[in-house]
Amino acid sequence: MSDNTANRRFEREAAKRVFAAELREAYHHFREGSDDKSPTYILLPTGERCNRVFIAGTLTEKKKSEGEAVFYQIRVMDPTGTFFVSAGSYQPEALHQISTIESPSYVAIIGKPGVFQAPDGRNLVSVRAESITAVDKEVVDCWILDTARLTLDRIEKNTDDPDHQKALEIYKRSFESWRPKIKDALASIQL
Amino acid sequence: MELKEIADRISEKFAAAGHQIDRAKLEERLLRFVDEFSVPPAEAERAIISDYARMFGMETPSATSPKKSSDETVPIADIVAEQWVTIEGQIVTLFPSRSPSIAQSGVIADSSGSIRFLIWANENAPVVEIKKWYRIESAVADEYNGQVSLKLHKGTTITEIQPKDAHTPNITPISQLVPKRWVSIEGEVTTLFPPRSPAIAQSGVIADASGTTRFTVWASAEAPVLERGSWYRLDMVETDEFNGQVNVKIHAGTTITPLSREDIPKQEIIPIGQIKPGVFSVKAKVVAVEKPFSDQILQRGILADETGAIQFVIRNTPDASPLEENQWYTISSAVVDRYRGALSMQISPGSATPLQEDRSIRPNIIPIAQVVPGIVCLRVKMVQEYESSSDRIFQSGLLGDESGTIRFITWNDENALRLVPDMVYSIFYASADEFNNRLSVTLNRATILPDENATIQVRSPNEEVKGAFVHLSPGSGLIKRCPVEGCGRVLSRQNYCQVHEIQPNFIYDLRVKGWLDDGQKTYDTIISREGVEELTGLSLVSAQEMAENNPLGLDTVFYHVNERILGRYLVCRGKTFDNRLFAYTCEFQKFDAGMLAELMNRAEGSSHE
Repeated sequence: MSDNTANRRFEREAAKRVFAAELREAYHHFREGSDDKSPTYILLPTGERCNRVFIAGTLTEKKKSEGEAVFYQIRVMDPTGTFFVSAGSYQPEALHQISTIESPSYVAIIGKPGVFQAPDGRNLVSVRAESITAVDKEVVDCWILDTARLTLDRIEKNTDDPDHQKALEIYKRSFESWRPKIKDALASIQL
Repeated sequence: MELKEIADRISEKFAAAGHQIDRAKLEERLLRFVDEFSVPPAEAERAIISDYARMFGMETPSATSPKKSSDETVPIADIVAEQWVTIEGQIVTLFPSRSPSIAQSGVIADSSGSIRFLIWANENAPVVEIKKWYRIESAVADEYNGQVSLKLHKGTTITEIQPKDAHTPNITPISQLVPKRWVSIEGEVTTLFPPRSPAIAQSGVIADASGTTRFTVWASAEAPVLERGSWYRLDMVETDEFNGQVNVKIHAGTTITPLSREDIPKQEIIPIGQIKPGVFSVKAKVVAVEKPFSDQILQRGILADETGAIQFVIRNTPDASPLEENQWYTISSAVVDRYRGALSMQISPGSATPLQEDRSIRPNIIPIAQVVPGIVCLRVKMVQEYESSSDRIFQSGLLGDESGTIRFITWNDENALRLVPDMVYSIFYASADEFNNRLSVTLNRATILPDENATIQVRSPNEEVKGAFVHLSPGSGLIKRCPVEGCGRVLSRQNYCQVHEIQPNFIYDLRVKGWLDDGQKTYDTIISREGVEELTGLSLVSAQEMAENNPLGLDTVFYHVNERILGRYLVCRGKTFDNRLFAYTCEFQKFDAGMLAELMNRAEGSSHE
């Protein structure tokens, strides 16, 4: 494990492709290693850890909170549901980019997912954007294909994987049950 | 039309609060959401309302989805979760109640399909009976664990009705089974496993021409004993999933009908190239046989026709007999399964009939890029020989053709043939295996013919990486390089080279440094000038002009490049080294309709593939 983390230092974690319907159901999060800088992950219900996501869809709503610090909250829809995305002063690039995008627009976002507890006790997953760009529909359609493919890869993966097993224990939802959502997403693409 | 209603609703809502909304603007905005961006109308309404609410400084109203209730009956197959529905159907199974709050639960079916239902216990819940037809109004469909079921509560009306067309379920091909459904299947019991638990009467594998699946017969089903090698029709089996594989459960509600010889779907002869796991009949020639190396196996070998070849196995049972090399056979209803990625056909006693045929086969030679585990025929050039790492290996190296390269290995045995570098060979019936995600071909049993006069242009191993561009690093865009010959290092803003110090006569260049991410792996990427020009539409000259005519200088080009490529899907060609990618040419990835069709199929779910 130790040389594994040493190697990892020079690598960037892949940004996972995940549909809104799946990300919404994720709540288990953990930290790999004990020091402050070790990465935190959320465990996706299809059995992969993730500390960064790449998502795309339609920005439907943009809310700026005018407090002492500027803070944006946006909603981004994919064919399966809604992503909740935010950017604050720690994400200057994303903050700048969001300010120039109007709703509705197609956007692609790279960011870090986090789990938050709502006042009523529900878990909410929101993505802190590192960057957000206005894109065209073709990028969104490519993303739907890419996300469908990688989600299928995750559910069809060898089940010896410890994250896979852990996801089954925690979420108690069969991987196969995600297939309809993937189909819905693919079917939404209008040629 | 619907949009007009929504627009009415929105303007009424704000008019009530004393705010007038520009109707034309509102409708245009709605249209933009719904038509141009395919946002569902409900979500568009929500988004627009909260925008206006913010504008007028009102509380954002919480969204409530209107409760849908309609008198129209819905075909059971069309029911989706979170819907109020009215259905008419026949009770086909009832389960013993597990909780005092549940009055009854079971399965109800109409001619379109079937669904699980549950009746909550309450004073006026009527008792439904098996086999009877009912009309059920205002039941709630919801989803748990991916399975949609119907909940019948106080507000639901249940009335018995006259029986309708009997439920004649369609047979679902085994390869198309998805978990958590109630279906009918037909197939041959190919394997029976020893019982593991008193709750299970029998378990094994059932196969049809489309695929195979495991089955379990619950002891509580009190079903007749299924026999190996016999065909059955099973109505109302429940599909389930375990370890990523779909299986079927046979319970008390399942009807088991043994099929006699005449009822068995007559199997057409299938070209070997189209075989997948399942039960198939083929007409093929034995092109190779191998000495058995275990007591359980009588014979192993290779069967081929014009479309492909497959490995076969004959188990050592008392009535089994071996096949003869170079003889044609019709083989009926043989079970095909996948072992280590490659297909293998089990030939059972009596299923092979020799044919009076003596044709030679023109083998189906495929490009290396299309090789998958199994038996393959190739025409290749020996590109490279590797140093042998074990004395069990006779020779290993790399073969190439116009489509790519593949490793090969020949184990030490008396017939091993040594390949000569740069010679072109036709290789028939070699077995391709996958090991550590890398394909290789084993040449030991293959027929190998050298062709001394031929040459092949082997495709250079220029790699292609597809992914999303997720981060643009500093040092991208228009850069300055050290002009000293053989150096070319990137200079700092002050024109400083790490080796040659200040260089005022620098050379401009364009490049991109950043991360390309395919979702599994992230590449530390450098795209050279040609690739940057292709992606951004900038040329070195236009980039220079841009930098010189703008107060931000070089940063302008950086922002321009960032805007063009960040968050986009790219196809980059070049060299990779671990997680580094040096790309010479790049383009934006196009939407691939073929991939869409392929993924649709894959999402349909055949976990046996």
